[in-house]
Amino acid sequence: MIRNVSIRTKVIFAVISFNVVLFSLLQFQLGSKVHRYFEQSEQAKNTLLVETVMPVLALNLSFGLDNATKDYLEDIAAKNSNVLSIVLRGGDGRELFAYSNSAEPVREDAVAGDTLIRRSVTDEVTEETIGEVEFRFSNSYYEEMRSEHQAFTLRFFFITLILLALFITWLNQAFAPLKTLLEKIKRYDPQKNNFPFGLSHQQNEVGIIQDAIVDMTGRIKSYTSELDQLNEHLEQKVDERTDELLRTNDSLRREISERRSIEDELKRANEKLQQLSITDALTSIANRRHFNAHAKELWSLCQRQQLPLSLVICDIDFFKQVNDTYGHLAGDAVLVRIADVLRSALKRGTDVVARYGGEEFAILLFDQDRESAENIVSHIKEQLAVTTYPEPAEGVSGVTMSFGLCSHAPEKNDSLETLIRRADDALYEAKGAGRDRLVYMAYEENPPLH
Amino acid sequence: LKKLLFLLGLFTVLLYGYAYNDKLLQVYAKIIPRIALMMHPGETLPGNNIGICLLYEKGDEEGAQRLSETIRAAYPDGLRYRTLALSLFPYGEHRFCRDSHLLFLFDTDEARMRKSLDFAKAHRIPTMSYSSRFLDSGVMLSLYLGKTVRPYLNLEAAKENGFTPDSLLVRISKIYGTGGAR
Repeated sequence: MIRNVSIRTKVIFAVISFNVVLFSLLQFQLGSKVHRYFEQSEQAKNTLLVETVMPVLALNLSFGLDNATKDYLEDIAAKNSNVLSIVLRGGDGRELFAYSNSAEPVREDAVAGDTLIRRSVTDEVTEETIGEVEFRFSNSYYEEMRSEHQAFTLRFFFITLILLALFITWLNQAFAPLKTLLEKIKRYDPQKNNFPFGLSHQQNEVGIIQDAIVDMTGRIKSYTSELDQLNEHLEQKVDERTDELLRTNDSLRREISERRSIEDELKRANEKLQQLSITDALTSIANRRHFNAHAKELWSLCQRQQLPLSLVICDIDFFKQVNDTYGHLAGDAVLVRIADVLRSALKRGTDVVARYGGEEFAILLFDQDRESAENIVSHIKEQLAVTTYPEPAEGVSGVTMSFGLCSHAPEKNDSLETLIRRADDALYEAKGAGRDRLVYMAYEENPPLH
Repeated sequence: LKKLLFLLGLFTVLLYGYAYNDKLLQVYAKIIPRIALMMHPGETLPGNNIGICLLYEKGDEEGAQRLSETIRAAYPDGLRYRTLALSLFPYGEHRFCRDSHLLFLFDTDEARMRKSLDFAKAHRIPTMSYSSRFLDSGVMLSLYLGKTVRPYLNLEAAKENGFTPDSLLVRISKIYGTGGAR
């Protein structure tokens, strides 16, 4: 924060601080030492005066020279302005001399702030007390000194304020060129190169700074020119590169679009191929390959979860006669229609109907036991009875089917082939028993021979 | 005419005799014993008395007597454990003052004063005269009668006679010099 304070403020602050410290030191010096020394000195002076006066006084008294004594004491009082009063008493207590420097009567007691010194006058020859003298000294010098000190303090402050005002004025004037220089620097624009000053040829601080700035602006101008050229060249380069990039980008975008289109087509073709690979081309239901794969998955699932799996293999009765009577196209139409009937009979996604052979179909019913499977077959037979066939098989009617069923909840060692064989055996038996019926055969690995 | 001259002489003598001021004599009585001591600072006076010899003209005998009595009255017990030995002699008999510590001289003529002073010098006796005019003749001390009465000290004469008066005495005294009073 102190870095943000201007040099001028710092200088003024320093000057004021210096004055305050100096003044405080003076006050301390005067207050704590000079006053004490002065007081001690005054006391010593007063004591010395009394000690000097006493022998003379004693001699004069012992000589009985009263007038000389008075004359002497008056002389002492006249030469010492701080003597307020002198009282001399004889050995009998009679007042021999009294002096006061004011109109007030001589006081017996010491006034606060004054110094009272009382001494017995002793005859040096007889060593007898021949009187008593009392000096009262004024301490007004201390008050005078304080008063003078206060006056000095006021003068000191007044003069300091004037000097400070002059100093600030001078400082403002001294900083004015620097301020002007600063404003010009703020308005300086390297593009316009509008710095208005030239070399100052002055050796003071402002001149040196101005010369340095002029030199710097010259270099800035040179660098700006170079930078402008470089900038122009760079812009051209950037434009060229940008155009090139835009072209490349468009090309890439087109390429990506084309690739996406091809990929979509490929995906669709793959899907179609996959669908075709598991779908019978005529009836659009699952082909045998898909049936086999699905049957293995369901068989494993039922094996793991101990669920029943039912397999129905069915065949159109007398389909050869339809072909022979109405032609193969009519036969195909009958196949397609019967495939629709079988597909619509299954309600769950896990159940699968597939074209197993020429006119043979297989139905896998997941998690459905024999009863459920027989119900579905019953429903199929009912639908077949009311089914009509499209052109060119519109003349066909009363088409029936034979059904072979095997239901089993497979265990670990059971096989799918056995299930298929037993359903196939049941279909064979239904055909042999006169067609248009359902025959159930239980799952057995080695069934007895009939 | 002889009678007239006798009466005039007698009157002059009487007048002369009464010329000694009592107040002044009292001052002298007070200071003489002390000055006798102060003219010998640092010395131990022989004997146990302070010898003061008063020389006078015959007409001043009464004055001398009065001074002597006044001194005794002022110091009935002597001074500083010493008794006062006061002796009075007319001029011409100063030889009896040989052992004195101070020679006090009443007024006389110049010739007698000179002899007395020579005697005092020969026996190293400080001198003090009633009249300050004899300071010119070489008397060491007298009284200065100005606005105030102060000892009048002929410092040169004192030094010439080998005396160094007490500094306090010097301080309170008016100093008499050959160049006049100071």
